[in-house]
Amino acid sequence: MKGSKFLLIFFILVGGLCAHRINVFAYQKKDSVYLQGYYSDGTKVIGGVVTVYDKNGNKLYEGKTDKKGELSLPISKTGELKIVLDAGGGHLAETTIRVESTSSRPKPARKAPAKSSSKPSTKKGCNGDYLTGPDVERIVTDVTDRQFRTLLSAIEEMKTRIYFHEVVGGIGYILGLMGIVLYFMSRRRR
Amino acid sequence: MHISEGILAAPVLITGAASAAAGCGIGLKKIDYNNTPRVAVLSSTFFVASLIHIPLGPTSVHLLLNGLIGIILGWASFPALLVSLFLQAIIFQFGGITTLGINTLNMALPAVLIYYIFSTSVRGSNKHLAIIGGFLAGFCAVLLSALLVALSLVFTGKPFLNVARFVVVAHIPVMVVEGIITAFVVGFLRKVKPEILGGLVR
Repeated sequence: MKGSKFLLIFFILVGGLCAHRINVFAYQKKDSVYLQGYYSDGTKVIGGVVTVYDKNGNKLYEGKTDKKGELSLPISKTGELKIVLDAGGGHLAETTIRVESTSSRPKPARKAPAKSSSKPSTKKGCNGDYLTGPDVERIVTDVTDRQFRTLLSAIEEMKTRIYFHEVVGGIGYILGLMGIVLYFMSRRRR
Repeated sequence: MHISEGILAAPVLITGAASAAAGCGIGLKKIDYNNTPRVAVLSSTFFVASLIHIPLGPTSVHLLLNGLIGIILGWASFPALLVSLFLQAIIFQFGGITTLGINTLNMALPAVLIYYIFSTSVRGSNKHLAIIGGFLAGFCAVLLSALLVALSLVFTGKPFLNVARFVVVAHIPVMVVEGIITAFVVGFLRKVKPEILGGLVR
């Protein structure tokens, strides 16, 4: 028995820590919600049924993930959206995201024109060749989107990873429980 | 195989929890001072086995080893699996607390059935029959669990056959692998410690 247990632990160390559970990861990309579904060992959820609900539980969209386990949905409603992914066979994951209206962006844009108008006047001064406020905003959003995406998936990966110390901890709990049971049994025997 | 929270309706969850509690009641009566460590070791085996992923088939599946656990523990599979599933739910968020009962039932009931069907052949004097019994025990336990999972999902409104096909097909590699593992373990235990095969004896 001991031998087979060590063998199991060996398999885990060699094969990487994998498990069965699904995750859904979603974020807003301009006017659409992009989402990805995967099992906790990294396998993509292909053909998983995605349903989006608003805050009040009304169904907004339904779709299926593609071969990469991804799906892009258009946004028609802002505020909190609940995204549910059903991979079949009793596997379900959900996440909520806050979707902001893309038209609510003029706020930062108001600052941007001030910057861009001051730049050309001090440096180049040539008309038509400088970036306008919306342009700057678009470029910055694109770059930060890309960086956030990497960062968010790294965070997601850390959250869903199974750590070796958790496995050892779980076995420790079982052995501890066994100790408690044995303690009470030995008291009864006396 | 772990059914997530928020899928099943309350009646299914309650039925599952009640049946699992009854099974645990029977199982706990079989546990005594001498065989407690055996239950704990197999409980942690299941806890660890669920983390071993088999990279075959359309979805991601993992080992269960409930056939092996059934042969060795009999009715005590219920408390052993309940403890493992509880820890998996709180540590790894597999399944969930509300689905703990139904998940325990889906894994432990096949284990107990396997114990009744195969324990005599596994203990018997014919070595080949014992090995074949071991393979079938591992294979059928997973098959039965898959069918039970499909059955518990029936009340969510999906047709039973579709779900059953999905779950069973996904687990065919696991069935084969578990059959082989169980056969090996049975062969090994027959040599070194034959008395532990065939359930707990008080």
